[in-house]
Amino acid sequence: MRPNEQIKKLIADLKINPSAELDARVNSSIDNALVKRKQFDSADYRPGMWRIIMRSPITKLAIAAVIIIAVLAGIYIITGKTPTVTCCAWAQIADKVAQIKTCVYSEHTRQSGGTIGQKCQQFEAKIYISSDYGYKSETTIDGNLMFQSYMNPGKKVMVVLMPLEKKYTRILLTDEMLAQMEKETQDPRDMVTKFMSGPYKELGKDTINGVEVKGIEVNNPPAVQTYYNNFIGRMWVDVATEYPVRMEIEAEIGTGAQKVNVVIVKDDFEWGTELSADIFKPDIPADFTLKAETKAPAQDETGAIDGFKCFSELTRGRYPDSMNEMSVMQEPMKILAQSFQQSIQQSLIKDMNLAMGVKPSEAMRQELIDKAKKLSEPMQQELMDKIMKLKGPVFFYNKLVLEGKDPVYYGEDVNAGDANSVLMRWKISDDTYRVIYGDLSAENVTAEKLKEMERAAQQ
Amino acid sequence: MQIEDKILIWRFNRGDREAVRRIYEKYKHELVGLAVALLKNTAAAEDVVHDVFVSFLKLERFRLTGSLKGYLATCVANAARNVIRANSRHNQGSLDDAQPIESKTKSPECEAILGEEKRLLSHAIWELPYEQREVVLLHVQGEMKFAAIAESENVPINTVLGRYRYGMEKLRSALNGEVQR
Repeated sequence: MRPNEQIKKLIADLKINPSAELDARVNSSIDNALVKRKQFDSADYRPGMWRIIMRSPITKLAIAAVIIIAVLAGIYIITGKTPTVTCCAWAQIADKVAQIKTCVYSEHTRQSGGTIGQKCQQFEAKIYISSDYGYKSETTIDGNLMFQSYMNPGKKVMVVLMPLEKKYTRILLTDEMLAQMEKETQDPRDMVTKFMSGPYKELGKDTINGVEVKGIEVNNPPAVQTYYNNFIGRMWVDVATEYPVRMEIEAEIGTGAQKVNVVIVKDDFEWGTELSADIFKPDIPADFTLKAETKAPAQDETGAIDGFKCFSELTRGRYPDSMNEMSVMQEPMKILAQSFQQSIQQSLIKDMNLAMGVKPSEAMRQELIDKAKKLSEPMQQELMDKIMKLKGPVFFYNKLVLEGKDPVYYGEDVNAGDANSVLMRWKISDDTYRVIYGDLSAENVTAEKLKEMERAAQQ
Repeated sequence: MQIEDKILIWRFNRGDREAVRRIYEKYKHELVGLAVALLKNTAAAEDVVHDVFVSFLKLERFRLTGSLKGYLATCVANAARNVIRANSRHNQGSLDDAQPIESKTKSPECEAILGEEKRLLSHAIWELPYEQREVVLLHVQGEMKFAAIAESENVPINTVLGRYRYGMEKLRSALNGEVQR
């Protein structure tokens, strides 16, 4: 008598090679679906005329800003101190990865929520990192190459090319930022060790593209807490080579109305692949023009105060609710975009003697678009400068966190001009703290005095 | 769910229809095997598998709680049931007494690929009442849990368990030369 298990094994093995005809039919259906999708994507979708005209330059500005924020945020994330890995088996993997001088990988980002709105924004990026030559990323949206970012530590500059607009932006980096970047940016072990800076759960073994992998899952590891909330990360490592093959991050950035949900997947890793210096040299075509040149904010008290001032001016006397990218950037960006939009709209109405209810002809539509683009150009420099300024407090705050200087931020409860309320404080010696007040003045206070002020604020 | 399947679905949901090609390549042998076992007809089985993938391509997004293989097996089983039902309507019969579609050819792929033991098994499976055959195949080949099968067929789980038990008993008897009718 055959046991059930033997019969089950026979049934499970009942596999049949499909005919070549079925293969061809299915592949043809897939090809057709791909063609249809491309046709749909390229269909000439025309929303309301005024929406196109008024929004397109601003939308581009906003997207550019978001990407630049993301690029800088990415750099910041990988400049953090590498925590010690405590687990032996995974420590070996971290050690092995630390020996690698180059890394290439793909990054897929999906974000929604906050002022970005409920609709998902998706970015695809190919990233090249070299200990010797720097950092390069190529970002595509809907299959279009939107940004090429180069970070060259030797030249203290980051260059962002925007191929669709034939423009580029230069961000001048401070010595302080570069010192950290040179030390750690190109070191891919950060991505591994940040995952493992806290407790983790073994996910066991699985298969990815025919490769046997083993995985871990982490929940809010300490090394990412200054940037992400509700962080869940998964990392899959090739069992044979012990190099990561896939990393997944699901997290929130910001809080309240500014909260943005992000899903980031890093895959297609090539560890230790040969990368020539040419890959990292910005190749700026002759017909590209400089869109804006701006400085990265100083990671110090002055940079923070400048950023707070900029935020409170734009928001009529308020400060960011919390110290993260989203809380600091979203609201001012929205206000700036609206202000630029109104300004362009008013100029167009005045210059072209338009009435809002009139439906423009095709020729007029094109003229409007061209004029709107031209009007938006000087705003791009202003926007970039503001972005950099607004990021100052976050850069400084994160630096203080990494240096273990016990920074605390009270922006939610403090208004501009409030000379008696502590806006932010950090430790400068055993008994002394530095304090920035609501009126943006700063002074050193004793630990005892700070305690009194904080107690009074709580009451 | 296998991480590779999770990645394929993730790629599919991001608009990468090439992921469907990989899914097809990965599961085509099992799905055609399942469809042939259900329908006893290679041409009809291949039509069913093709239709399942065409429907799959039409999806905008795809959310899966169980396994991808189980999902595809359910799709094949549902499509096969529709074929049987259409065939039985054509023959003025009901699903209960519908006979599997007879092949005009003698399923050469099956004959060529399956060894003697598998050939015996195939015939034994084809001798099972359709509902028992479906449950046995979905559970064993599609790796679906009984609860999931019950849900997809909209029948109580005890009915599914009963069909499985009777089906396996008949297969065991058939393979041991104790065919019970």
